[in-house]
Amino acid sequence: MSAANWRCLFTGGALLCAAVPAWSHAPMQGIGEFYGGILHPLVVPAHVLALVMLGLLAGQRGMAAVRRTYLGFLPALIAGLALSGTRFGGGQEALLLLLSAVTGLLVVLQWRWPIALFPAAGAAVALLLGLDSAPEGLALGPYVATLTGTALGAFACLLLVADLSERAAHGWQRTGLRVLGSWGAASATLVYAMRWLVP
Amino acid sequence: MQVSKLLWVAALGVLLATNAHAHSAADIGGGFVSGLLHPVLGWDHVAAMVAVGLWGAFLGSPALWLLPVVFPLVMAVGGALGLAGVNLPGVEIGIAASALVLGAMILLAARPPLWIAGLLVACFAIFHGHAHGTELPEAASPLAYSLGFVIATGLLHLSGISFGLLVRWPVGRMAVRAAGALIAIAGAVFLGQAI
Repeated sequence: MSAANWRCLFTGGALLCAAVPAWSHAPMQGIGEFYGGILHPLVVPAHVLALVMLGLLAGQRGMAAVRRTYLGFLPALIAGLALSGTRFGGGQEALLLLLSAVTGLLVVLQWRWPIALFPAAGAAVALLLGLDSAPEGLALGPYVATLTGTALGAFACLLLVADLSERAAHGWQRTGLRVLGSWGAASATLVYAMRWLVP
Repeated sequence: MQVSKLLWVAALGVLLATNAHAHSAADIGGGFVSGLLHPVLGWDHVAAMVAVGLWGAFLGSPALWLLPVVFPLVMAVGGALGLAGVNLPGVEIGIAASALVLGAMILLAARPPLWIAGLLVACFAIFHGHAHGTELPEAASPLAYSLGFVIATGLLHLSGISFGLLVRWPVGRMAVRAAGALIAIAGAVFLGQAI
């Protein structure tokens, strides 16, 4: 192969590798960083599962637990997102799965957990979710827009699920919550086990 | 000549280059749908899952909700065994037997103590979970896949419960027991094929 052909091949290879940036955290192209950030917690299965299980658990315990969950959730989410770009960020998915499995089981048990536990539960989920949501390869402006969107999307998801769960008054509705908890716990347990057991 | 060659290679490069998505919507959607279809496409799974719901409704509360809650949780344990490579002998036989035994329980209107019913369903859930779990690592998005098959399993339970609620009426009770007989017959056929 001539030198010119090698040059062509090299150029093509370089284009293959570097034609576009890695949009590792943009769920949909063209919607912009902010809206991409909003959607991010909703399209990452481990994130949405953790939020739904936390919302079910808090709502199941009543409005006082829901409020306390928010108290722990919001500051921890902001802290987690702020730290997501540092060396602490990334790789929290396994821990989120473990938390989802535990919260799902707690939903199934439907015990009257001490209210004081809920800020800690909210903070744990929020911190891990925030740390695991680092956008990659973005300038400061889009980076902040993405994180702001992620914070809003995650909080909106928790708000919605916790509110719906809190409104479950009938026996069959509360049974439905336990069934949902069992589904979440089962899925999270399986995938967490897979991470440990499958090389 | 060189310029045109370079342009061709460049165009090819641009066409082939795609964005690297850490959480590709296609992978998540594909994994979820694949998981959702997995229990539905196997008649032995369908028969056993519907039987769990039917029996739960037949036994009444708290079995009505307890069996469908126990099943996915224990199924996850079975799945973990499958993932760990634990060789569970006769998985297909266990799945077929679950349809046969649970169908027979409904046909005979068996009302064992709750813990026995729970234990029986849990034992069968191990086999179903093992079968699903071994396919988990091949899924594009394992969590979406597992959510899919757990939800499909739950919906099959729900369909059984919905039909099983007919036991409130004498004719409905006969219909539910007839459905149990059909499931038991299907289970016997599956068992014959599995052996």
